[in-house]
Amino acid sequence: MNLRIVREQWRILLIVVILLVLAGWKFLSAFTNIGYSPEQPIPFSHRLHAGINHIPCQYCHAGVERASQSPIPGLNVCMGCHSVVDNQRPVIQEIAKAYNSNQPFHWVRVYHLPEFVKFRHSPHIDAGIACQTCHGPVESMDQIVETHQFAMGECIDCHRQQNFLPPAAERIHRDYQLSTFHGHPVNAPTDCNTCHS
Amino acid sequence: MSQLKTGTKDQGAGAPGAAGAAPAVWTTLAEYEGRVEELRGREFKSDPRPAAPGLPPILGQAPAAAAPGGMDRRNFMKWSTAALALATAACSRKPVHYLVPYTNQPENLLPGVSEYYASTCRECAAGCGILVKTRDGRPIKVEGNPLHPLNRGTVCARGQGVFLNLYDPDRLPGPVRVQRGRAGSPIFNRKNSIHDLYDVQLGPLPGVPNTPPPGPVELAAGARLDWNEADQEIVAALRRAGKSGVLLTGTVHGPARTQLIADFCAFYGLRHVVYDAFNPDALTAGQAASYGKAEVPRYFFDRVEMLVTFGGDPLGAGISRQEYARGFGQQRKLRPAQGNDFIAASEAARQHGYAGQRMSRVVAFEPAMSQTGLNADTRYLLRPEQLLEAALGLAHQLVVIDKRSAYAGNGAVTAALAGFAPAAVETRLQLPAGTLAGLAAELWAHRGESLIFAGGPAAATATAAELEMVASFLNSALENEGATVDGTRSPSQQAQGSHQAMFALLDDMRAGRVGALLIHGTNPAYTLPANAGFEAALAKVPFVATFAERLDETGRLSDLVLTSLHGMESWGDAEPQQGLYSLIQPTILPLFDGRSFEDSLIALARAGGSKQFEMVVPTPPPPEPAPVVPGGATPPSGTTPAAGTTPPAGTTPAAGAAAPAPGAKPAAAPPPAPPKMQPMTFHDYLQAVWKKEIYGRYSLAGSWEDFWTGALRQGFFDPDPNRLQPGSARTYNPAALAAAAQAARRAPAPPADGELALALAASPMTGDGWCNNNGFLLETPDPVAKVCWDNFVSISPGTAKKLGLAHGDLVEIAVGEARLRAPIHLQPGVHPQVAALALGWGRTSVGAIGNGVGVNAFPLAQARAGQWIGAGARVRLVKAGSGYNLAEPQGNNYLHGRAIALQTTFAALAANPTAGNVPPPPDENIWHNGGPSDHSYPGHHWGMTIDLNACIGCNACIVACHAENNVPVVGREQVQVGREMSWIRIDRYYTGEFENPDVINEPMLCQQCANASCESVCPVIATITDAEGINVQVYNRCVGTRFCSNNCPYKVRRFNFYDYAGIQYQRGAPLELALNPDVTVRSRGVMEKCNFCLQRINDAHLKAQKLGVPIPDGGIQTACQQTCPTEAIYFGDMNDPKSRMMRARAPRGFEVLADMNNQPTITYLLKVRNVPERQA
Repeated sequence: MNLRIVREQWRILLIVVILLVLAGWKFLSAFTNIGYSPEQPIPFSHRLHAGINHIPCQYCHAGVERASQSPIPGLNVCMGCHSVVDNQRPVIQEIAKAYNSNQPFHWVRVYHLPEFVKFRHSPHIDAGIACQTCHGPVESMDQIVETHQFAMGECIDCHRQQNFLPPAAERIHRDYQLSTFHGHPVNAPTDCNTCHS
Repeated sequence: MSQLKTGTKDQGAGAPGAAGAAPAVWTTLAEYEGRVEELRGREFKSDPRPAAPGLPPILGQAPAAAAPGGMDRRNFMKWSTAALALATAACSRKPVHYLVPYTNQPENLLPGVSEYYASTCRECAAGCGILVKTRDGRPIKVEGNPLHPLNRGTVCARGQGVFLNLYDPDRLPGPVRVQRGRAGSPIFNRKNSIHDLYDVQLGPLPGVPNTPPPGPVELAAGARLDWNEADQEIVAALRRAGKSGVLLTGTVHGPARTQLIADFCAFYGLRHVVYDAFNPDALTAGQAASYGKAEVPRYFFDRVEMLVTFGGDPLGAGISRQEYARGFGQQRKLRPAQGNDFIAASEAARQHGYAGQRMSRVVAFEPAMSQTGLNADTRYLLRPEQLLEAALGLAHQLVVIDKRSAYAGNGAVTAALAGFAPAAVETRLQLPAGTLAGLAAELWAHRGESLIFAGGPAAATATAAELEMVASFLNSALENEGATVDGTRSPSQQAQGSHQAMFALLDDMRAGRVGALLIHGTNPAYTLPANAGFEAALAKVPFVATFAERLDETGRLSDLVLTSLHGMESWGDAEPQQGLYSLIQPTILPLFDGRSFEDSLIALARAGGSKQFEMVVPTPPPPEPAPVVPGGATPPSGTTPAAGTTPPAGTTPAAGAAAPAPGAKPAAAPPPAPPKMQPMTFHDYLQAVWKKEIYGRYSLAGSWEDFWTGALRQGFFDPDPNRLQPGSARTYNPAALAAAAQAARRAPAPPADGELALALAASPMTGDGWCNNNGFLLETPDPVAKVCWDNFVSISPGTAKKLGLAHGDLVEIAVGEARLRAPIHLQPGVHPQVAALALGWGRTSVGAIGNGVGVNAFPLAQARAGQWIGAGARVRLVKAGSGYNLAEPQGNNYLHGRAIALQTTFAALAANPTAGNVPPPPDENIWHNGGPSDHSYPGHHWGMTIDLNACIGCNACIVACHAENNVPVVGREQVQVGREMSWIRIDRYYTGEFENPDVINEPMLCQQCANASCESVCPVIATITDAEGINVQVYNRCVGTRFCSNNCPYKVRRFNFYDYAGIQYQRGAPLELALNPDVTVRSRGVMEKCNFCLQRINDAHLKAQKLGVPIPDGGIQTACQQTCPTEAIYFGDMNDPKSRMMRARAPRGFEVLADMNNQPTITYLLKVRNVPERQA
């Protein structure tokens, strides 16, 4: 190795090394978003709604059992209650104003999946998987925090565990594509094309 | 190992040229002539651009001036360090995405859940029923409406490609003042056309006066118009013109649309002229002479057992080609003696063989191979002007010699046919002796279930109408009139244009008798013959306004261009056949600042003071808890543009039901206050007309609202069940036959030495060229020639040798003053004295993709005595260059002489159910020594059966696959180097006589092998057989070694050498909206291929799972299967022997390259030719 380069260009080399370390750290951290909790346009509290008041998730996220994406409720859903409930609070009036002026909120997306992953909510809801299994204890969060990472290993792990069927029941359940066996989720496929199409 | 095997085959019997004998089956001339080295070279092409100057950096090749490698290491280090630094500094987290819900969530509309709306296709005037799949407020796929009586669930290639027209960034953004081209327009020729990107310079050939793509010009300041201003200007011009104004449109049908045009013309005193580039002038003239009334008859191809065409191409260029193709395909399949159940016939054949089954017979007389000729059992080659004589000879044989039909012994008929004795005709036309006698006997045996089909551009000589008269005579004599031809009950309205009317209008324009001209839906500046003198005539018209989606050639010569809407953005109706009413409903808000043509007419009439287009303000509906607030929603991905993704309440398709009934009676309030009036939209007008004309006329039970909702939901209204039967037979007027015979006696002299007869042909892919900015259609190869991105002069190889021309030579053709230069394509099956050239190419003002692709052959046609002459002109081919590289995907793979496409004759099959289906000799292979594979498929095992008899090569499947699977378009040059991306292709195999071969069309797609050659070589297991037998390609796993493609014996794998999808879809907004969100968009460096529409299979699984039922047979339709007009493709579960797909696998079934033991899941049914004994 030509040490002359190291002697003469050590500053540049140092910068390069530092940058590489920084870049590597950033690169890795880009895939671990656990803890990501962006500020949302209004301080909507899941703790208050789902936790304290026990409103079921699907009251607002209605249709998730049919859709691939979980629908973010429209403002008419908010106004369904809040035209009466607490309608004098400033934040509620902000919603009412947005609703009346037809200006939807721009919620910040928390959970991302790459474009080549075609995740569908509906079969998971059908199989009786609780929302919290993937989204964490939402009912205790004021502001949504990302609790799961959704790397492929996590999906596959769960699909493998949920795929057991007693041999006697296998045929009928496979034929009829039933999603549960006595209340337990079954038939979680592990083919690549389940998610990548 | 398989490669080794290939090598040995080459040197053995498989290499035909080496042995000196002609191959039984061949695909290209090179293969026929045994130029093996050339074929090998084509199989593994390399990038032919060593140093293309000016190549955009996106393609990663530095200009020639740069050092080899483009960049030295020092620079590379510099830049990469800087890039890293920037990346670390700028990016704290991945891009923040926003989720934007509706402010008011519409009921039953969920993000990511598709909705389907019934509508009518407006890509041509045929009026096929479609179902539009929309997702999050944007249409993403078209499928045929299975209930629609016209097309029964199928859509042609042009219909499937609709989204590249709808989302085309080259559409006109708003109304503009063009001032006859003086101010120009900047809208086209931005420097990101696909040709620029791939450095394909297609522009004008040096020294050729035509096809100069207009250069990029700046839009003059103030060229953009305000709608009000435009309306006022047009109204003023119409007032000035008085009674001399003319409204020129393409074919318009549908009760409301025709009524509106009539109302508008009546208000301003305009004359309505209808002109289409392809029109039935000859047909209607022939019908008028034959039966007394000018009609476009309706043809029942689903009742035709024997079809004889005289130049006509019902499959490629028919007026209602989906309907024709559907019937044609049904009849071409092997059917039981009674009924049309192909599946039942296949099952029966397993036990009893094919004896006693039926299939139709097709005979074509034509100058050059058309798409119908491609599917004919027997073809006879004639020059265009000889078709008439052949038809007369056939009539003479039938009526005078055989004394068949009601006209036998009819003095007038016999006298008319004198001089057309078959023997003499056969000698003159160089047909084999006995041809006409044999044909007449067969036709008579099939009387009442045969069809004589004539016409089309290839027959458009000066005697085109006379040819139709003889065809009508033959149909009447053969008792087809009223059986397979219907001219009385429900004739077609799908083609109403007329050259004759257009030429008369041109005379008026030249004489200054036209004060103002409004043009919509037709492009005369592009489609009229050069000698019609459109441009000069237009200059005499004081005011011209065009209503069009884009600035076309006619628009450039207009004063104003008003942006009209695409068919998917507007309301409308259609009546393709009398009594069949079809609705057009919008599925997206207008993407640009446009206004539908119909709404423009209403606005113009109102601006001129008309009170007709007003209606009573409907009584307000009972108050709802929350008023519907439209819009305000974007798909939650945060990446799609927000423009017009949600139809507002007024235009929401489903809102037809919810909308208050227009024209409802005002509430019966005691004080007779004058009702409050409001302007009508075309939506209101449409409902009013339908209420009066259809709901009222048929005095239906149930409320109007129910009727309207039902019609919208179904997409059409077909009240008369008798309409599905042909009407009564008309009486033929023998004077027409006499006139035709008289004309035939004045036949022109045969071409002089070195001269050829020109036959212009309609291109099955581009039609009249109106949608030529559509990469799907331009890149899908021509069904016959298998050439894409160009039109070309087709001549027979023998003629080429005689004239000293070679494939890829450039020739100059001149007819009158019109000249053009085009490449030569050697096409077997062209008459030796004919040069054929496709119309519908060479647009100069359609958009960045289509401008300058091919040459415009329309000017070569001639206007003569009110007639359009497209065929028969004598031309000389003057060589003007050579070495033009036509893009031919077909020749990119070499057959190595293997038996890939099998065929037999109908007679042989009846005797032996496995005739022609000879299994290939067992061969050593790496797969389990020929044993079964070790995969097991406990649940489903998806497979396909493809009937080669039914495949007509129409290419609809290819475009459907493009649209469904986000398969990109790559451009001419990439196709030239074998990098086309289409997942399914139609291979065309020639067999038989070299100069007039028979053809087998074979759809080729991934065979989803159990023992997949590709899987065994993938180093990263990116391709793998799944639990249901599909060989899946995992894009995110693929590292792009291309080993799989190299090892695939079917050559169906496609590699993204560049970011093709990005280049195509990021050309401009809103093109990205056309992508299917269920399918990953593949990036550079990834292999892809057919996966049996995995996303549809996944959907079906989820649906079945939800309902707790197994997936029913037919519950999954792949995109190609869905749109196939002839049902040539069956998809189903191989584990279910009762599935239609498995039942169809009769003794005719064979697997391609079965000897390799790849165990493909696709079974082909071999091609059967229905040739009589005398030809077999």
